[in-house]
Formats: sequence, C-alpha cells, structure tokens
Amino acid sequence: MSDIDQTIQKLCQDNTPSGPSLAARYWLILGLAIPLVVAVTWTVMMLSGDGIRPNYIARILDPQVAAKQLVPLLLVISTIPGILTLMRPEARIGKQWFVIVTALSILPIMMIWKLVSLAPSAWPDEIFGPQIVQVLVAIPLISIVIVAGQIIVLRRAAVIQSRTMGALAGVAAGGIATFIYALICTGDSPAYYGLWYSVTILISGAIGAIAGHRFLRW
Amino acid sequence: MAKPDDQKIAAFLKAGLAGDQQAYRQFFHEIVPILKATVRSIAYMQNAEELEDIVQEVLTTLHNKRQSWKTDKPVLPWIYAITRHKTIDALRRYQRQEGQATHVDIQSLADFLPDREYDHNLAIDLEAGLNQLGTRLETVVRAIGLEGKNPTQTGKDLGMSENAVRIAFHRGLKKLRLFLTSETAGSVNHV
Repeated sequence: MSDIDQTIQKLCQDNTPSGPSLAARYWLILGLAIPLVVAVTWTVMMLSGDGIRPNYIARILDPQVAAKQLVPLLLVISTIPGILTLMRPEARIGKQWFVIVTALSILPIMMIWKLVSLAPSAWPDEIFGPQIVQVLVAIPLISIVIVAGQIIVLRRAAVIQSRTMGALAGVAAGGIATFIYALICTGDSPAYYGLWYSVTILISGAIGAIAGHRFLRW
Repeated sequence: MAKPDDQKIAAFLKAGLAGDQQAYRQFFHEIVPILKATVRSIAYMQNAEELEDIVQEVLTTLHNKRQSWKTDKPVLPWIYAITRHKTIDALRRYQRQEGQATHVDIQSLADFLPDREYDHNLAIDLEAGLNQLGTRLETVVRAIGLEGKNPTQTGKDLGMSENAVRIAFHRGLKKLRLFLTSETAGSVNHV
C-alpha cells in the first residue's frame, strides 16, 4: 500500500458527517454574538448612567439621525455576502467590492457634505462633539467580540485571502457595533458621526485584518 | 489522463460528506491523478518524493476543509484552488529550507570525492553527471560551480532571478551528488 493510499485510508476513517454548512454556522454565530454584545453593552451603559438615548423614537424620525443607524446596517448588509463568498477558495468577490466601497463611502461623504455647507469657523464645534473618546473605545471594543466570533467560524473555511477576509469581518463587526452604539449616541451631526463612526469602523477593519492574517491561514 | 468528470467527483464527495465512506474513498482515488498532475505542473522543479509529500498534504487539506465546498457548485475549481494554494505554500517552505542551504558550494562534493589531485575517471563521471542534470540545472552548476560566477551574474546571464539561480544550483548539486554516489557513475567509467 502506497503512502497516498495510507493517507486516504486514514482520512476516510476520520470522515464524520459534516453537519450544518459554513454559511449556516456563520449566521448562527452572528445570531449568538449580537444579542450577547447588545446585552453586555446595555448593562455597561446602564451601570454608567447612560442607556438608550431619551426620546429615541422621536429623534430617529429625523433623517440625519436615522442615517446614523441605517448606514452602519447597510455596511453590514453589503459586507456579509463578500464574507460568505470568500469562504470558498475558488471564489472571488468581483463586483461586490463596488457595493462594499460605496457603503463605506457614505459616512465620509455625509461628513464632507455637512462641512461644506458650514463656515470653516463652525467646523470644530461640529466635528468635536460629545463622547468622542467613548465612540473611539466602545465601538472597537464591541466589534472585537464580533470579530472573534466570526474568526472562529471562518477558520473552518478555506480562506485564500486571509487579510481581506479578516478586514471584511472587521468592517462587518464595526458596522454592527456602530449600529448598537448609535442607539445611545447623542451626537447627531453628520460631520461628527460621519467622521468618528468611519474611523472606528476602519479601526475594526484593521483589527479584523490583523486577526485574519494571524488566524485564517492554513 | 482523461478529462476529469466534475459531476461524478462531486457526487462521490457529496455522498462522502453525508457519511458514505466508500464514496469518500472513491472521491480521493478519483482526484489523486488530478492532484498529481496539478502539483507537478506548479512544482515542476521538485523531485518525486517532494511531489508525493505535497499531494498527501493537499489530500489532508481537502479533507480538513471539506466543508468549504458548496455542494451546488462545481467541485473541480474548489479542488484546483486548494491544490494551488497548498502547493505554493509547500514551495515557499522548500524555498526557505533551500535558502538556508544556499551556502553549499561545489566543495561540498569533496566529502565523497576520492582524495587525489586529479582522476581522469572522476572527470568523466562529473561530465556525465552534469550532462544528466538537464540544460537549465547544468548551465547553472557549470556557471557557479566550475566557472566561479556569482548567482547574481548567472541570473542576469540566464534571465533568471537570483533566488531561482540559487535554488537551481542547490538542486543541481543534490542531483549531481546522487549521481556520483550511485552505481551509474561507476558504470560510465567503464563504458
């Protein structure tokens, strides 16, 4: 019996029915991770005296406020198909890049749009609004948990572009974390959230890229 | 090799994933020739033993990553992608190993060369050994080992990268060593 035959023999003995598909596992882990981070974030915010912002329902009807909830959600929706595609080693993202980049561009465009409508002397007040440190810390922290959950599932996939996959997982996690954080965030100027949300989503993407490069290689 | 039948291979794998051991074994046996051909086409400079190692590595990876195949998609692109990825990975590993050994020079042959100033038979053996290396390896070994050129210059002369020259030189020496220590060399002398 040749070495190859012996290897095949061993692999066949190790073959157990494979269970749910990778995509199903991915959705399952997101389904578990999101309620977990919502619960933890909510608890931390309640303990620190924050919580969902007052008059949330009334404010969310304002398009500028609605956008800070919807754009991160749009980013998540545009990124996840790319992640599911890259789970297969033979697949390439292709035109999905256009959707992802477009979704990523919306917040910076909103920021610029807002700023150009104002006098430069008014820019600092618009940009350096409340809770900057909280935004910069909370969103990446929340997203780390979601990135970790995704990486656990993605390790089972055959990811060829590990950094890209990690970055996409990070951006998706950043989008989810931003959506959760936006529930309590009172900074409603697009110049403010357009900048800082974009920065934190990119930080999450960078965390994902590093994690992907480290944990998704095989 | 006959053209691989994607549907047939996919059916074996699908049944294998559902727990059918016989089908799973059949899947592997069906793809071994494909893997061998693909690995050989990428890692054409490796010897038979290394190629076999890579094929085994690819088989194990296909097994470990079997869930990444979507059962409604063709199976061959999936197999090719994993094979290519693992083969290139293995080549990088071999390259690193060989990079560490690039200081080997023609003097390393002294271990098994007879201790004498000049031996006509040995010269014939060396010539025969160099001839069986193939044009590319022979040119590199002659340039560096006999003419004393450096790998950078040799690379420029032959239109190869310096790294590729170093690998080719090391591989050439290895083959030459095997040839000179085998009985073939002796029989050349007595022709």
